[in-house]
Amino acid sequence: MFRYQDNMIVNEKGKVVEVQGGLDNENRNLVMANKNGQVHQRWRVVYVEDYEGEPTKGQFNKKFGLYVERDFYVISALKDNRYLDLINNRNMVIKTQNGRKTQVWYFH
Amino acid sequence: MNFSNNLRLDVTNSKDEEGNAVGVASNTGKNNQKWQVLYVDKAAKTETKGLNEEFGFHINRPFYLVSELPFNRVAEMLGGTNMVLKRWRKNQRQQQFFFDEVKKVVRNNYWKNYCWDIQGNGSSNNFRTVSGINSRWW
Repeated sequence: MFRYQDNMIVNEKGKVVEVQGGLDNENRNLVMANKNGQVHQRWRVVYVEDYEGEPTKGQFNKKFGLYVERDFYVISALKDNRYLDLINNRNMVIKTQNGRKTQVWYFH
Repeated sequence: MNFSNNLRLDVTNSKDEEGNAVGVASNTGKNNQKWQVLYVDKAAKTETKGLNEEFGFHINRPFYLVSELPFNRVAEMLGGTNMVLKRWRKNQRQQQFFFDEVKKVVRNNYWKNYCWDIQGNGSSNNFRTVSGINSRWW
């Protein structure tokens, strides 16, 4: 039997449901473990009619502070206000605005 | 009490556990042989809604189990048995569960005969769902 106590799912022996290895990955297994109260053992029971779901395209994601799938630039606060840019498909640098898509970002 | 052999109904080993066997034994007078007859018309009706404070769930009210890890993924019943973490998807009933007040189990809202369980009768650490009522004391 399982109970919902202190934001954890607890069984009769005091073990709790946790995300295996604490990895926040898609399809990660859920397992039983000794209680330690860490974030990967904590859950919210949210009733379906109360659940707002995740913000969709164009909506603001409060938790991350960004609009979903809305293009943006990241501008340095240094004197010349250069733009965050991607070079060689891997390195992040600051550059003067150049109109290229390597300076455009979006949150998904 | 059986009048032909004087044996009593006896909860095996006095273990007050869900699914524990009941047999017959000689009279000991202990609590595991004591019973109360409760007539159905006098019994309290089973609640069909509202919060079960002991278990912490609302009765028969579908819910998501939302992880507090950064992506707030939800628990999903995968392939009929395994429980995994997944991104929330609208109206995906494999991601919804509800508390069954009668059996004191948590059922999946898509495969409603499947309940939360621990593999190997509690000997494993694998949290999963299983068909039927198998969520016992473990």
